[in-house]
Amino acid sequence: MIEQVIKKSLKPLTVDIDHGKYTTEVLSELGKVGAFSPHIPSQNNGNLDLFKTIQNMAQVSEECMSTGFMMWAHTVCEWYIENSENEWLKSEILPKMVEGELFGATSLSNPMKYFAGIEPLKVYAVETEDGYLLNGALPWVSNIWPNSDKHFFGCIFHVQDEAGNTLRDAMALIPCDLENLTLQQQVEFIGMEGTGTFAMVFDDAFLPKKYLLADPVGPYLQKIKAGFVLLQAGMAVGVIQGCINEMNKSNLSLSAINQYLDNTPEELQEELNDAAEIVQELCEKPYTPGDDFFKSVLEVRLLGAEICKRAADSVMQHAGAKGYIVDAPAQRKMREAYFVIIVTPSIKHLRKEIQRLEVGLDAA
Amino acid sequence: MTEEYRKYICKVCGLIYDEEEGDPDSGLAPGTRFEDIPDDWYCPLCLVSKAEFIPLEDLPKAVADGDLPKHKISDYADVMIIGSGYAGWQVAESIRRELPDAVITLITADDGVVYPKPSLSMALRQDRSADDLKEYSAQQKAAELDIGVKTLTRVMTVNEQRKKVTTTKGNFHYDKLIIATGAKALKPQISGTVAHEMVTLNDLPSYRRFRKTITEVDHITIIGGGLIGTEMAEDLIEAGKSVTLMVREEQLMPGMLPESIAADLADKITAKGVDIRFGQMVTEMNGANGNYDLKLSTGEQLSTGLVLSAIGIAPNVGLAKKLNLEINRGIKINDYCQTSNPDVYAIGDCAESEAGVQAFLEPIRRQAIAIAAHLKGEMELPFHAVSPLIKTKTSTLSIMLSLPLGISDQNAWKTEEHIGSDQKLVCKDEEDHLLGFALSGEMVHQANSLYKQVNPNMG
Repeated sequence: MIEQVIKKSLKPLTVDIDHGKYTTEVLSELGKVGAFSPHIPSQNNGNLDLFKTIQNMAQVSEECMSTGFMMWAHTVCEWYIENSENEWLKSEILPKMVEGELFGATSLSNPMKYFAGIEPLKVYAVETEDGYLLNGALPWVSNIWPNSDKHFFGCIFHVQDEAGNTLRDAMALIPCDLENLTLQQQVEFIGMEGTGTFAMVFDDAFLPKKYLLADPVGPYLQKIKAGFVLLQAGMAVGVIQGCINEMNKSNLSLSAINQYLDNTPEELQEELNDAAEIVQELCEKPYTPGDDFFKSVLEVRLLGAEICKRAADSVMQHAGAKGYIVDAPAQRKMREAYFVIIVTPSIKHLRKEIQRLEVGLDAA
Repeated sequence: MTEEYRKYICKVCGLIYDEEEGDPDSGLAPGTRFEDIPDDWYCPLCLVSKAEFIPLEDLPKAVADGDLPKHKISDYADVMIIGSGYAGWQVAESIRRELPDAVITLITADDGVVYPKPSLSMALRQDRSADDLKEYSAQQKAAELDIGVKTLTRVMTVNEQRKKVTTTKGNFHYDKLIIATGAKALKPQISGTVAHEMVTLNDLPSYRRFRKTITEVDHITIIGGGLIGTEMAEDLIEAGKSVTLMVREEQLMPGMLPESIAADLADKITAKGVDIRFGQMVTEMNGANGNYDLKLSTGEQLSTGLVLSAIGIAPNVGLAKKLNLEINRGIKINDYCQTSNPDVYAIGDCAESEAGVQAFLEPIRRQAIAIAAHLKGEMELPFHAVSPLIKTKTSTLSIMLSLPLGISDQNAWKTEEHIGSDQKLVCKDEEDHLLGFALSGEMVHQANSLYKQVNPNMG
């Protein structure tokens, strides 16, 4: 079961992964025990249980949020295929992703910022008779591997005419072994290093139409976006729980002095439980149309980031100097929790989008 | 040479008194100067006195918040208010007056802009944009009241024991909490692929969108024949749109207007061009943006550009549930507006007094005063619901009424006068005391004096 995979396979690797080791072994094992299937009705006897996948991701993130993040990228990629009308992807790729034989990822950070009016879309394509010719570059896509025939990621791009005028936006699944697609590891991060994170360049890369998820992407995006954001709750819930666990451990010896701190583990636990309950309610109907529902989803995502902020601070303060040692769990948890705050949609991005919906302005 | 006519605005509800037009319904002939209005005259819309009016040009204009000093909000408040509608700001103002030193924090999910709510239904007719309606930004109003304000901040949970709210912008502690979360506009549950594109009109953002959308469509379908639905139908016809008004019941404003006045009103707005469908509902909504196909309960199809739901409101009680407060339709309050938790008060459209949920402005001012006095430790200023004086904003037929509290039975009405199409109906108890009245046409002149009989302490 998931607990066994975490205990026997993940736990011994947590520090190595934090140091930059990328492995698909743990993901494969998680797939075999069914961790990736609850939100994919076609592979789950017709049942949609988004919250169960989130709980699975939370369990993994509680031990190692780098792995939890890869699991998010993977499960959200499954979500893309499940909600598309591409039967080939659903029959040939999706079951193998659910089983942990193939690996999924997502490069929607840039498009999300594009749709929120924060930055331009960076990948564009010209449609040909049987496919798309892709150009452009994206920084930092995770859970991918150069030239791998087992790794795929979802990608949104402008469809342009020969003169470079944008006609519409489309979305497709891209195999990492696509010709003229280059992956490069250019920077080193302070956390999440073992997540297979690369910058990518498309240079006249030809993508056959069988990989298409949606063209145009608009209505499809409305369908998948709440699930996309909600699934991220798995990382937040897990890492916050991980911080609380560490705080409780610190309190075994330091409770007398730690009572002077602002956030007790009990208080954070209450906040986490309340937040998880809100996530669970929203997961009941992830296809609810309309701005009000999506605003609620963004709000709970923002709440998750806010609690992560407190958890990141509290786990360090509760641990004291012991938490400041290289490879101490407290400082790793702090770096992981901070990732929830800055990964798309970041706190600032969420505030911008919530304001737009709240004040009644048009989309950017 | 005569001086130019001037316009005055009610600071409370945004009603504009135009000297040129006067207010014939309350006996002010066209051309009546503001200074010549008797002192016992009151705002025909919200009942406040003449003193609450200011010249329209004196209305403060929103300034850029960048020019204001940032008011750092404390993580502990003596009094925390959730919600920035009329109720939220009103109670903040009352409390500041009574407790000059209290730390007051107001938290709101929206942008906290201060604007007169009833004017939403008039603004369309007056061709005022959402931005025209803004009186103060939240920061301006907070600076004026010397309180802390957190805008665009959703309260996600409340912890009763710790007296703490968890928001999307951090945690805040309180000693006393005031819930002023208002009500949400309801939509009928109908099927169809775009049922969620039905709109409501209950706040400034929805008004902003609505005003933009109606410029792009010709035909509008309104669901709900209550006060708002009927007024909107008339406004939209006057704005040159075609309008279908779907009324589930068999009369306009059921439960409020006597049948005979409702029938007269229906005739008059039908003559204006409103297509009223009594006893009918929309069952399905398909199509796309600005081009909808509706299926009606009669089986008929209707093409329309916009569907506006005006079927009523539901108090926002989500936070009250998290606090385990006693809730009926709204959050139950006692004579001091306390909920079942004595440290938590509720005010406005989310609250339910012994008279039920009263979604009018009138009780809010008195509730705010009651809360402020109670917080100060004074017990002699309780809140008691009274029946408000209502003036419908229907231009085809002037209607003013005051409903007997708790009575909505058509049989209670007795016609006293019926001259031409002008009507006067009253509701009396067994000892011939006046409990309520409904007036139409010229009869509305009697409203003020009748209302004083019903509520000797008001006005």
